[in-house]
Amino acid sequence: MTWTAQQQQWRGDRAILLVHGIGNAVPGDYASIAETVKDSVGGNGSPVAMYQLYYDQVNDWFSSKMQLSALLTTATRMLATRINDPELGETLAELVGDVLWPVLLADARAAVREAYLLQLKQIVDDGVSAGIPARDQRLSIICHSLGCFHTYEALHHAALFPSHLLQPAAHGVRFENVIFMASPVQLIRTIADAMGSLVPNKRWLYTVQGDTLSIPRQAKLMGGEVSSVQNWVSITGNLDPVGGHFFRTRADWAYMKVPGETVAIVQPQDGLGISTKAQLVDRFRACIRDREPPQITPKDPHCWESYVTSHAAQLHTWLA
Amino acid sequence: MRARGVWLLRSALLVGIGACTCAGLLVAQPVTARLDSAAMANATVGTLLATAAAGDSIANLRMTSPALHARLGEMRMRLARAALHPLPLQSVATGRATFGVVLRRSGVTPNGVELAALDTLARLIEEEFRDALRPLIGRDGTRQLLTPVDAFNAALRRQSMVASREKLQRFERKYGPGAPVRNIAEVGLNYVAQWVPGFGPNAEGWPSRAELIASYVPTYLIVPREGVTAGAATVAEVGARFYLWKAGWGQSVLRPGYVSVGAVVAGARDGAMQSPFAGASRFGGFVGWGNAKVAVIGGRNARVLVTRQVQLVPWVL
Repeated sequence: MTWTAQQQQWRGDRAILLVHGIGNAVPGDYASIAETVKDSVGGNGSPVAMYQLYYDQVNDWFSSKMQLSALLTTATRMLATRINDPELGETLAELVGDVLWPVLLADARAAVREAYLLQLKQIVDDGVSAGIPARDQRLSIICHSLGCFHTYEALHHAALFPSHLLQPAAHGVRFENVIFMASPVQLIRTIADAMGSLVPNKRWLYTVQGDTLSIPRQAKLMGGEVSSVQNWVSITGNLDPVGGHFFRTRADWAYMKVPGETVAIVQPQDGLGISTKAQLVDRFRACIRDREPPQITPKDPHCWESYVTSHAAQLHTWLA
Repeated sequence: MRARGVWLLRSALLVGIGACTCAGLLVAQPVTARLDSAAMANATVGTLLATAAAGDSIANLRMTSPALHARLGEMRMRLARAALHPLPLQSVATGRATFGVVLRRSGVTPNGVELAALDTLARLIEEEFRDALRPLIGRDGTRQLLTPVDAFNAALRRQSMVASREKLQRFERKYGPGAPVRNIAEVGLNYVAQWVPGFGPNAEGWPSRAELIASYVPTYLIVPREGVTAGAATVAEVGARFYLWKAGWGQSVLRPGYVSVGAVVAGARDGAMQSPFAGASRFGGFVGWGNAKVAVIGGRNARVLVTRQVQLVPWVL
C-alpha cells in the first residue's frame, strides 16, 4: 500500500508534527503522546493541527528486501568499543544499534526523507488551504530517537533544495520550534565517521557534513541568512544512551550539541529505580528483541512518553 | 512616494482580487485576514509584477535599498513581454512540471530566461518584502500584497508533492511487497553498487532503476524440441534488473514492474539442483519480462529455458 501523508483541516495558524523513534509504529500509535502535547497547548479546544509521521511502513520495504546483519554487527561492535565500558558496552550498543541501519542504505535514507518532506509539504499546503501563507504559519516538530535523525536530515535537505518549496528564506517556511528528545544524531555522526567508506552516499548524509552539527539555514539572494528553526531544543536523560549518556556520564562523541541551539536539557532520571549499571543493563536487556526493534516501556530511560510528560510545562511555554 | 505606493498596492490588489472585493480593503482589515482563495486562483504573472512594483514603491527601495530596487527592475525587464502577463501563475507552475504542455495549449510559453526571472522575482519578494512592508502596511496588508507569491509557491509546492509521491511509488516498486526479493549475494552486490553512479539515488532523491542480479536458479524448464526432451535445468545468472516507472505498469503480466537481462552459465548436465560450474560449462543469456524469464544456452547442447522469478529459500535461492 502506497505511503500517504496525513492531511488536516487547520482551525488556527499552528501545526505540530510528532515524529516517533525506533519501533514498529503504525498509524494510531503514540496517541497518548499526541494527547499530552495537545493538552499542553490548550486541549481539544486548541486550534492546533496535530500531525504524526509514521515512517516504519517505508522502513519495512527495505528491511524485507535487504539483509545487512553483518554490517550492522560491525557498526554495533564499533559502538561497543566507543562506549568503552565492559559492563554497559555490549547491551547498550545492541540497543542503540537499531538507529544505525539507515546510515548503511542510501535508498532507505532517501525514501524516509522523501516521506518526511512530503508530510511537511502537506502540512504547509493544509495551512495555505486554510488561508495562512507559509511565512505566517507557526510550525513545530517534536521528535524522538531515530525520528531526530530523520528530522535533522529532512530539514537540512529542505533548506538546501528549492524543489521542495520548504526553504526558510525563499519560501518562508520556518519552524518556530524543533524539539529533539533523546537525539542520536551526534552518535550516528561519530559511528558513520568511524565506518568511513562503508557508509554510502555520504555526500547527502547531512549528519556527517561540516565541522560540527548545524542548524539548517539558507542564504538570501541579497545577502544575509535565514535559519530554518527559531527555537532549537534538545532534551535527553542522563541514563539514556541514545541521547549520549552512559550511566549518568555524558559522552561528547554521542551527545548532540549544536552551535546556536536555544535550549539544551539533560534530565536527571532518578525516579526510574536504576542505581547501578547492572540495573540499567537489565532494564535495557528486557527491551531488546531478536530481529525486531526494541520495545521501550515507560520505566525505561529512553521512553518518549516519559520525556513528553515530564516536560509538559516547558512544551506549553515553547508551543503556546 | 508613499501615495504612489498605496496606489500601486491598490492596483495590484485590484488586478489580483477583482474590483468587487477590493473596495476599502486597506481601510478595515480584520486582524485575522486570511489568504483569499479566489485571488490565489486568479493570480497572474501580471499581478506578481504589480506586487513587485507596489512593494518597491511602498518601501521606497530606490532610496532605502538601491541594490534590491535594481534587481527587481532587472527581473521586471526580463518579464516585460506583455503576452506573459495574463498567464495564471498556477498554469505556469503546472506547465513547468509538464514541460510546457499546459502552457503550449494556452499559446504562450515562457522561455527559460523568463521562468528563471519569475522564480527570482518571487524569491526576492518573499525574502525581502515581508520585513520591509509590515511596519508600513501591516501584517494583513502585506499578506494581501504578497498573495501572488503565495499562489505561485503553493502551486509549485503541489507539483512538488506530486513528485514526492512518485518517488515513493518508485521506491515501493523497487523495494516494496511486490518487488523481487534479493538473495544474500545480491544484497552484498547491491550494497557495493551504491557507490557506482546510476545505482544509488540521485541528489534529488529519485531512486535508480537499476539493480544487480547474481543468482543460482534451479527452477528453469527446458523447452522441448527435436532431439531435446522437456526437463529441469539449473543455471547461474549474472545481470541487471531495470524497473519500469511508467504509470499503470507493475500490476499485470503484460505490463510488469521490471525487466531483466544478463548472462547465464549452466553445467555440463541438465537437471534441477545441479552445479552450474560442474563439467564443461555452457554459456548463454537471459531476458526477463517481469517474473517471466527466458534463457538460451548455446553450444552443442543448446537449450531454450523458461522460468518464473521466485525465491525458494529466503536469502539463498
